[in-house]
Amino acid sequence: MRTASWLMFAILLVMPFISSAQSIFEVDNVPATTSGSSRTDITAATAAAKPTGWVRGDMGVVDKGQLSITQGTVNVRSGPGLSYEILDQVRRGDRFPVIKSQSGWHNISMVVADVDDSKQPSAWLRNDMCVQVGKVAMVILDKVNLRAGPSTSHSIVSTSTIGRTFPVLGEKDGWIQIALISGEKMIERSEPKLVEHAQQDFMIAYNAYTKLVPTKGLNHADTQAALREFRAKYGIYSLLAKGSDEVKKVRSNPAVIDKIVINKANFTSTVYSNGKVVRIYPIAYGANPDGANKQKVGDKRTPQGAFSIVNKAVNPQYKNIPGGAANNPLGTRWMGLSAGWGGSIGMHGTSAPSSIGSKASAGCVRMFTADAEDLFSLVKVGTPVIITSVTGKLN
Amino acid sequence: MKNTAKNNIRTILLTSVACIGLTAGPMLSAQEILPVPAKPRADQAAPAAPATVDPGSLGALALVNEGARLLAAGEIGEAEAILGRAVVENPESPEAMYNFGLALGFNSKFAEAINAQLKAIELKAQFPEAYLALGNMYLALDENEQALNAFEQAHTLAHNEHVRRSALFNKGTVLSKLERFLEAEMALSECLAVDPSDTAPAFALANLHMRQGNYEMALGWLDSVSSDYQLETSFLRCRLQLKLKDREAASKAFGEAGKTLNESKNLSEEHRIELTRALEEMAKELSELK
Repeated sequence: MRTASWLMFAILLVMPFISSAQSIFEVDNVPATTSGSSRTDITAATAAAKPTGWVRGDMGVVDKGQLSITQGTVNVRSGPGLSYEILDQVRRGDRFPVIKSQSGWHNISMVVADVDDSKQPSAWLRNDMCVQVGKVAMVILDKVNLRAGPSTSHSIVSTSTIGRTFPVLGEKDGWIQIALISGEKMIERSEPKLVEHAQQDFMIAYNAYTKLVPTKGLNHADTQAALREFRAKYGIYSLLAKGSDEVKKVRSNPAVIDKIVINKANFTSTVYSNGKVVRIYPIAYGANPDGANKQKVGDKRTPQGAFSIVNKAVNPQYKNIPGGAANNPLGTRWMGLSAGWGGSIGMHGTSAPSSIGSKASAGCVRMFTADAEDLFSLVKVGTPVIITSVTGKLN
Repeated sequence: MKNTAKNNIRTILLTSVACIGLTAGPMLSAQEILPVPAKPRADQAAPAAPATVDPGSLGALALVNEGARLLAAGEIGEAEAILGRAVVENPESPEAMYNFGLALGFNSKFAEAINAQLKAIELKAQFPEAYLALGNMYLALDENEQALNAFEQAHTLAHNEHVRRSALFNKGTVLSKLERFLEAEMALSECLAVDPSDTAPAFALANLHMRQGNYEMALGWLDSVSSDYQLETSFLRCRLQLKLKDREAASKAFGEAGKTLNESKNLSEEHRIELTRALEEMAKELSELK
């Protein structure tokens, strides 16, 4: 096993395991061990862990000899049954080679793929500032401090914007140690079922959030809590979707994108390929409270209808704000639409990520900047974009 | 080509029947560009629901429902006879007159069908389905301005999403025929905003952009419907790539068009010959492309 994995195991010996950003979905449905073992028992067992273990069959899906964990946190046991001791716990998104299967259990090799991060500089971030899938963490808030150690008393070594991914090296006291390199390459192929689960979770959390915005307002504590929940779920979905076969296929051949459907009713932008949903991004749209179709320039409404992408720009300038500047309201990507209105309607990133999920723009479609960059890489001039406000039909 | 035109009219009429039954979306008029039979939507292929006037009605009004059932079943001769009787027995029933108009249209009696729909509208001013059927009759007779007026009325009066979509789609189609491209695009665009999953207006938009020379946009819309209209999109994609003078992409599209044609089993011999000719023309254009 690679250095990082051993380091993580070592940290598990002394540290609570479960990140607050990632709830346990299912852990065998029974107490941790039949002998009434505690977390200490788990970690003690881990010390003696062999590089193989057993996982219940319904905790993941097997494809081409690889088990992908589909549940939140799952026990790995020393044998194919609940009476066997727990050696370790693995997480949704982790993948392991299957040695053999019997009695509804999979015997897996605990070797996981990691980047060679032993020589990379590292930093720590609070675990409620990110979501973790497998050995990758995605930052879910903007301008998050990355520190030299696991507390706010340590110095800030860097900051991260929302959507960035990092390889996870370990955990301590509610902090996650990360390698200061992109975690993108570590996002392995994700099973469709896994992506679908995450998508459903995301949509549930997102709908809860968008219902609270008009009733309690953006700054209400309930709304903010719902926003954090939705971002955590979205982060998980986003990470998994990025690693899915379909997204990889789309990325290698953007010509296979069918269309983008922007639904004002649930603040989403959905990308279709061959009739299937391959990505869903949360968005913000026109600030006019009625949310209706655009009538005239300056009415702060987003037009509805069928359009096409007519131009694309990296680091677009906005008035006198230079392209790429942190305060540029267009973020780092612009995708203009054939919607008329002076050619000024488009999809773009944002310098105000907290506005995503609300009616906030002058008429454009705002996205998290990382999402706008992702979408930008998938579409071309001519890609159809349908803006609608139908309820209960899409997604 | 005569048969194709007849098929078009039949498709229009079937759509009208479906409209009153509120079960179907608008028809596709791929023939504007290619002599390819439009692939019916799954819901068009299904039997249209009867145009019931009163679910509990018996006696004379039941004739209307029976006529509607026969229309949906394609028994158009018998339907016309039954509905003719229904109209005589229910001279004040707009639904009877409407269904009778549909039956007349099915039997290519367009002038009489128009009169019947006008009478249905006289009996019930707020009758968007009758305006839709009226527009389709005018469209069949190539009286496009009158068809447009009828579709606009249908859109104004539309009381549900199906009628609204049908009116918008047909309005877009006739505006496109009138070469009022911007308005056509707006109507089709609005139609798609009502139902983004509807592939017929997306296909029509591809046609529209192609006619205007917006080839990249046309390709985008074609790609969005290729799984539903494989044969049509494969031919159109090849033509578009030829227009864009992209030899590599045109060659690939040409190969796909030929393959799709070979694999198409339900084409009439006449259509197959026409498409084979179209393929030969495209092969010639491809060979001339440097």
